Amino acid sequence: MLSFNLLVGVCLGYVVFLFLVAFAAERRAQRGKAAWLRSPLVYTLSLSIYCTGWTFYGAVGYAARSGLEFVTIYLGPTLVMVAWWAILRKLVRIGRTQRITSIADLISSRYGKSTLLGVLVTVLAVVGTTPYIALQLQSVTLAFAVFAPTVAETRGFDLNSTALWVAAGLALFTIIFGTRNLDVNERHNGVVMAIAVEALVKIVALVAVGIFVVWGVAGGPREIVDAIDASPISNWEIQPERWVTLTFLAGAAFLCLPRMFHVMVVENSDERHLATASWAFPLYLFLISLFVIPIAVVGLAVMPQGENPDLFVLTVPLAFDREGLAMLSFLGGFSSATSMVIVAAIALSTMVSNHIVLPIWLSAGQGGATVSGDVRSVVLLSRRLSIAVVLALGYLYYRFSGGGEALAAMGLIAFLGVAQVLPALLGGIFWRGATRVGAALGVTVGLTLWLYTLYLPSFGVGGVLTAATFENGPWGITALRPQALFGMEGIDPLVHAVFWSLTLNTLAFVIGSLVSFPSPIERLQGATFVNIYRYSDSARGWGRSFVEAEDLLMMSQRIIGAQEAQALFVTVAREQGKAGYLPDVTPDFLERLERELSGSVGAATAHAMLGQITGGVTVSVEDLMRVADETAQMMEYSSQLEAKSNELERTARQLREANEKLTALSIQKDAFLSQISHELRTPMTSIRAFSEILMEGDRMQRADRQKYSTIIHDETLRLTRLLDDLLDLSVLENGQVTLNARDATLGEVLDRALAAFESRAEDGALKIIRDYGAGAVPLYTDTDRLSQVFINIVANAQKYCDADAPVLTISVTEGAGTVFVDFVDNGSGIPKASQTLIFEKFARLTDQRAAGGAGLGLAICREIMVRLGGEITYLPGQGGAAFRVALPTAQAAAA
Amino acid sequence: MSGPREPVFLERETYRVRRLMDAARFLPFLAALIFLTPLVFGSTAGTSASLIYLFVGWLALIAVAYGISRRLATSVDTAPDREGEEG
Repeated sequence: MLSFNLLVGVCLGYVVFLFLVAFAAERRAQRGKAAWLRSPLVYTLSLSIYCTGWTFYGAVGYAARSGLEFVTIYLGPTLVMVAWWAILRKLVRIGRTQRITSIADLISSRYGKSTLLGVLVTVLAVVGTTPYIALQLQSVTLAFAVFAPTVAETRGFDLNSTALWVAAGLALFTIIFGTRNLDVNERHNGVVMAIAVEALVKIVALVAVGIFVVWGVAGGPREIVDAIDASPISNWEIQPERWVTLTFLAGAAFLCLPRMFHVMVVENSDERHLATASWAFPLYLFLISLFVIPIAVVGLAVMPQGENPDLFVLTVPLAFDREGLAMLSFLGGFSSATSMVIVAAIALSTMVSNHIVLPIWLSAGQGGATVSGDVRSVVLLSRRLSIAVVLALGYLYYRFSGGGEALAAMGLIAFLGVAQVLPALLGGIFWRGATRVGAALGVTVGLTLWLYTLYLPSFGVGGVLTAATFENGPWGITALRPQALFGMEGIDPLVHAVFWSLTLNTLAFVIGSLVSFPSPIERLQGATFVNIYRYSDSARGWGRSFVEAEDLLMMSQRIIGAQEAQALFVTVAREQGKAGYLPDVTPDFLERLERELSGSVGAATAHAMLGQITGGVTVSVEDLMRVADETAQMMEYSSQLEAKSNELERTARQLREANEKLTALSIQKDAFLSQISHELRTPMTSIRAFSEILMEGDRMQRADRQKYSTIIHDETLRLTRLLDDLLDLSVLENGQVTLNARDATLGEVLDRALAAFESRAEDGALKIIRDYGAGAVPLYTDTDRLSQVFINIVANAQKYCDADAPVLTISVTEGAGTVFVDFVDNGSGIPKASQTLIFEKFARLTDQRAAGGAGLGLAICREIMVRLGGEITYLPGQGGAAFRVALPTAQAAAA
Repeated sequence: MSGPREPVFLERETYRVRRLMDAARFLPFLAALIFLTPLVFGSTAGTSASLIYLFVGWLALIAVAYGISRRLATSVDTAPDREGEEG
């Protein structure tokens, strides 16, 4: 037979192993190698704290007593897990973005960072969890007791001292790994790793016992099915109302249990882990439940009458002398109990410390947030004390309830207790209209009814409530009998309690929310929580305040630690574009700071501490409206600014253009003056020279005099022509010209212009090819001016065409309302750079003085064409110099 | 909206993901259906039959959940922002 000392030794060894695992995990996490510690598998396994010692031992006992009904405890969570997409994902997202530290924190934070709700939920959690911890202590103690009587050296062995030692050990472990530091994300790598390992141990243990029972004892699956039908378990009849109620209750508790919330939401490091857990955790539950019925059936068959079915998992292997298996099974039960206690203690201590101790400490003035000194040590101390207190409460509860049946029923009673948070929780994340008043009312009503209809009666008739109360109700009011409220008699007490507590809870919650009016901060939080996917940032909860950033830094250092606080401040300052440690105290910054702080001390406390420093300048309706107003004003102002700056830019552009034009005009004017003086000076010089000769030369020969005076005459002619041209141009440019418009065809005008050239046709002269495609086009124009343009162009071709046999092609084409006359010669054309220059005054490309022009011809042409409503342009790419004259047709001109 | 760069293909992909989300939302109802069926035949069938039915149904549910979650896992971070408000 197994030695008791060996058992204790193995057990201690296992505990040491768990310490090492947790320690190693912490070490790895500190060195930044936490990746695999945070895998979906570890996450899924950590959820298995749902399966406590009550599950490990109790499920078989439950099955032995009530058949298949035990499975509802696992069907509920399966339902919740497969609903991950709609519910859990949202919870986890909220938990992560809002730095939620516990379920009390979630409720308090959602309903306007209410301290009252935080306290309420915390009290509920403590009341509901303490018996549960007692249950775990009992299961471990009972398991020890199974082995104890078999050995001689257990004299003086006391079950109560076992429970005490277990409780103390658990407190030690939890304090060491659960409160190592105030992690802003409230994550505990060591603890999570240890419970993941424990999860593996318990499933391996239970499956091993199951396999042993099915194949080792019964002889195979077919035989076990026969055994089930032959067993007393088969007398079990399904009770529909219990089946439905229990499934629902288990699901609700799965969501609301503080320890489940802790591993599922607070310890979650990646939302994708939920996707894995959505099937992997149901699979885990499936495996846990698979062998429960076979073990119960075989246990009932082989064990003597009166043996406690709760311990079949241990006693069946022992009955078949499988001591190794029994040892494994013992460790499985031990793991189930310890992992649950550890996480529950962490979750509860966080809640107690953040929602009860810190608010009291703050309001007692001890820690006026402006006082220096490390708040972290206070927080850590209060957490450690809370852990010790929670475990002490569990132990005391175990001692004074006396164990036994009353305790075994505690599991479901605790479920219903924590499930009272469900309406406020689901309402909070899906309904914006849910208010603090509604939540507080609902939880209070639910808590009261739960205490009255289930918790207090669980102590038995004559326990807390007297037999008279059970029979006739308090003060003889039969409608208030605890197990037959409002005359609902003859149904299962649990179903009765679930029905009344949750229905009235929901009703109070809904009605309370509908008739109350939420504070601004509640509305902000409500919108943020319900629309968490839309705004992952939290809404602004702070108004403008005049607090010094330095005070805030001092306070933050005390809560989240010097390095972290400084890093945060530097980051924010940099984002604001400032150097150094002290950013501007903007509402955004306060919001962010509060979120960081709430990761350590909970939303309500963080809010209160910041409130103390900022003088309680939290947001009010007026603030909200002012913020909205400011935003609107700013938007309007900025759009005005934008319009103004656009206008300015436009004006500047116009000014710039005008300036360029003026500068160009000034240059042009200078050039014009210098050109004109040059043009006038050349003939004047020769006229002066030759007239001086004539004045002095009395003896001059007649032929010479004739020659000189002819030169003078020619030069004056040239001068006159130049002055005529200038006058012409000036008249044209000033728009003083009068046009003698009349009807004509284009062909006529062209023919008249070209007649002048044909009359003096000579050798090597320009050959003109006419191609009057649309020569009959009627025009209404000044024909003299138009032929002046044509003559000018042909004359230019004659003068400048450098081909050996110059040819000018004139072609006429008609467009819409416009007729084009193209003059193309076969010379070398005009270089591209000069093409825009040729229409300017005095522009001559080559200094062929012989040509005798002043360079005003094309400038005059351009002006004439503008007057006539057409234009003259240089037509590039025609093989030689090419000009296009565009004219409006008679219809277009008339129109 | 990321713009219709590969319109047909993308649309189809998005459509599939949307229907997967629908399936994920429907899953709890399927689960409830499976888990509540024993109420209907509970008394007539033997305990072992109920047991076998329940565990087979449970396993099937897990398989379906596995299929859906495997494909949805990639959308957890990318898709939910717009979609989350529909449900």
